Amino acid sequence: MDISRRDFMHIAAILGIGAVASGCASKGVKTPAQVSLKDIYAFKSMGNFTLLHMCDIHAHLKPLYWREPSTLISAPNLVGTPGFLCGEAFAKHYGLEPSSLDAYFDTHMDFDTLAKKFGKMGGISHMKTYLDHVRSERGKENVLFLDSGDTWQGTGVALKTDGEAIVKAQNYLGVDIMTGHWEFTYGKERVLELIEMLDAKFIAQNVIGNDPFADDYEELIFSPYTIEERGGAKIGVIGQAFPFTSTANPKEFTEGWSFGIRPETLQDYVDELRNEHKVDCVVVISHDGFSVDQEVARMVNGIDFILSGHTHDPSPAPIVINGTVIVIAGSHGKYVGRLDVDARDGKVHGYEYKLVPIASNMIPADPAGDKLIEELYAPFADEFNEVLGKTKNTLYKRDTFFSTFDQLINDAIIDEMKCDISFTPGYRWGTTVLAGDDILMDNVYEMCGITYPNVYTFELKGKQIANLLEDIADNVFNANPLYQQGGDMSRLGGVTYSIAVAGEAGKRISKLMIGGQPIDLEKTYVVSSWGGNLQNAGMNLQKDKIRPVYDVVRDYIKREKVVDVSNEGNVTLVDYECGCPTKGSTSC
Amino acid sequence: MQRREFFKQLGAATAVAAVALPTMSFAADAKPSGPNKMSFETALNAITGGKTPVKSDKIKIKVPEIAENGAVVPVTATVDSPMTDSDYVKSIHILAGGNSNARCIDVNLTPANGKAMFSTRIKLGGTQEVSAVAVLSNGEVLIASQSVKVTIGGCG
Amino acid sequence: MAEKRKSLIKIKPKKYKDGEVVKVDFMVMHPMDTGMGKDKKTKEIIPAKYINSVKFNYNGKEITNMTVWESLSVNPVFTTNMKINGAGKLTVTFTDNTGEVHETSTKIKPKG
Repeated sequence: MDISRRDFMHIAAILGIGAVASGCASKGVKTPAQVSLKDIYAFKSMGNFTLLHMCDIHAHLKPLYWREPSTLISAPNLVGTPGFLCGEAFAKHYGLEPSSLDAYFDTHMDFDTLAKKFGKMGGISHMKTYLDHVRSERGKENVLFLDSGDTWQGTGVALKTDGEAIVKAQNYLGVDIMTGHWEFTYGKERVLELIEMLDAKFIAQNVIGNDPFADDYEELIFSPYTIEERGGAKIGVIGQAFPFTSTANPKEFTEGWSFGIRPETLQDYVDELRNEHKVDCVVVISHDGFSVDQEVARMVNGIDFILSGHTHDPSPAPIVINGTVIVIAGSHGKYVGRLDVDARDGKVHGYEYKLVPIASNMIPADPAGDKLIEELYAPFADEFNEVLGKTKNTLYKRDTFFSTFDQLINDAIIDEMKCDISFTPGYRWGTTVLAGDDILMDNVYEMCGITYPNVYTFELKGKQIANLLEDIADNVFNANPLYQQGGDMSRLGGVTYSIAVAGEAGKRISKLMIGGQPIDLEKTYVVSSWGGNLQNAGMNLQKDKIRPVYDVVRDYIKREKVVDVSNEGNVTLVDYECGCPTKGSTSC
Repeated sequence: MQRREFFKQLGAATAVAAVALPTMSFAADAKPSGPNKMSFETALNAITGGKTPVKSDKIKIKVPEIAENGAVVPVTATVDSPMTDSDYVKSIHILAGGNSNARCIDVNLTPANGKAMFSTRIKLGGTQEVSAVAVLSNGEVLIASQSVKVTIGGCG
Repeated sequence: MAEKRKSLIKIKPKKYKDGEVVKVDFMVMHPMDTGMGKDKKTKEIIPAKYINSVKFNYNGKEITNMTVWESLSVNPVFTTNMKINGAGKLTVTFTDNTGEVHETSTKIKPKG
């Protein structure tokens, strides 16, 4: 849903309409030399405390390039609404100037050129400088730093230290409270160990014991909420971990724990905070995803702010639903959300929000952060810095159906495994390597550094493959966000197909071709996959071929020396004319 | 191991169709045995004696929109009703229309239960509607249903 | 034939008064094989073995009985309510389709 007229007026009144386009302090497009730190920091501070927010940094301690999606399609009722905006539609919706710093951060448009102009994004040393700026401006005792999760996983240094390097980074940044999703892929025991090392509180109201014979059956695994005092206000913060952790990731990591959205208990905790603890403000740090949180705001009453995560949307302006203000701060450490709040006497009286781009060429690095990164990377420097080869074209990750880096991974798998089809998961984390740049081993880990990295090769019937694709398509394109899981389509190597996104479940995909031939439903195909659990459905698993995907990709790039992946996708959209349609339309 | 279970069930369902087991007629005191094949309609008819259930806000079914594990799907049915000797919920039934036997469990209650609630965990052989049916002491039959997606996952 | 089966009755809340309506969880370790699944290794059909009847008896009075079909999950859980009506015993009896019969009990001790 779009913001209502009343909500819009409310936001406009508080922010001043011009501020809706974040960081866009002036009408003209500024060159990097002209964009000053002042523009990035510019904020009309108000109220008695500040919430700083990050989400989905995916263990990126160092600055990186990160290109936003060039296709972000969903069901017709959702296309063109926040959470399903990209490219020109995004720029139009938020009033971004073409070629501005914000357009560079928020969209894929003209990415390579702007990357050269504005440089890398994020990085904890730069983030820390900004955080400390706000802390000194507002007074440390009036600032709360919240992390919506997907923090511990996504890079080589995270993988090699079982998450510990990232916990150290969070302690350095001064995270106060977090919740999780990919965190759980280190396994239950490790999660609990890391929480011990973490200065922040780890909270989740929707993780419950589900082993009937265990002591924690139907009991909370983590504290559901915490109450913090800042600027004289009592702030109740509830944690909402990713509801579909046990379906999106291997179940063995969280055996005995159940997740789910659990709106009923969320409502109970909101009520408890308001009625028993008399808080002035109720905040939910959530890993539901931007669109699911819009549904949650409809189902649950009395939440003031949802600081969302999971779907990696940069949302320059908050959206307001049922009195709940929802914000989300992109991914990969590219942004910090700043939310100033005026809350007294059990009520929020006003707020101001800005999604702050962490432009690492403009925000100076904190030397202590650079030193920490150096220490954390030192044991692995030789491996991570190995140049595997070069790329002719830009390698990126985000798109609903296809991306060049995923195609490279599929090419590597097909080359080594000699399979008919390769499945690579439609995660939304990864990295971007610019055309002509070296590909480092660190980049390969950024794309596939997970705790269950094995590539499996097995057999599936054509019929099973067709059903699987439909099943995955429904997880991505269901018209009801509550039935979506917030990822993109699995990337398929060796396959082309057409898709009608608005089609009914089980009937979206047509013209499915494998190896250039129409799929034979009765035929048995050799399939390789990683990062999912397809192998459990397969027959005749080739045990001798099982190998971690990052090794497969490394060896392939080294063999190829220069990789040349075309940006020609393998999926034809039947019902949309472009990748970033505007609301209510099938074109851009 | 949801996927394995899921496909085990899918595979099994075809096997059963081929064997063509006889459909059971179910006498009041008999106990189920063997694999049974009962459609949603057949099961509903057996429960209500042919009476069409009424969709009602008085009965609530709680199931996840997306099952975490198709082999273990929690389901809770509650009926907003007194539980007195003259006015109570006689039985609650859980049905899974897409399973080869749609009938999951029949729970006979008495006023001594104090509240009309039943909760368990069921296996689902795929995405489908799960229903709770309640038979009241005055003969009314109520129903509530919700779709549960049983997925193999595939994103993150 | 009957194996020893781990089972458990839990009353929630743990402390309750006379007249209070409490929640009763009954859980048991049982394979709940439908008779349609195949053994992954031998590819042979695993014969049906599932609980088909559960009865809750409180101080000699049957308060709930259930007819159970094969769709319940492995190690099933059965949760209902019960109105506390004096001290005594809650007994759960269950049978399965292969003729196993089990009984398990818990003391009911209302306070105040």
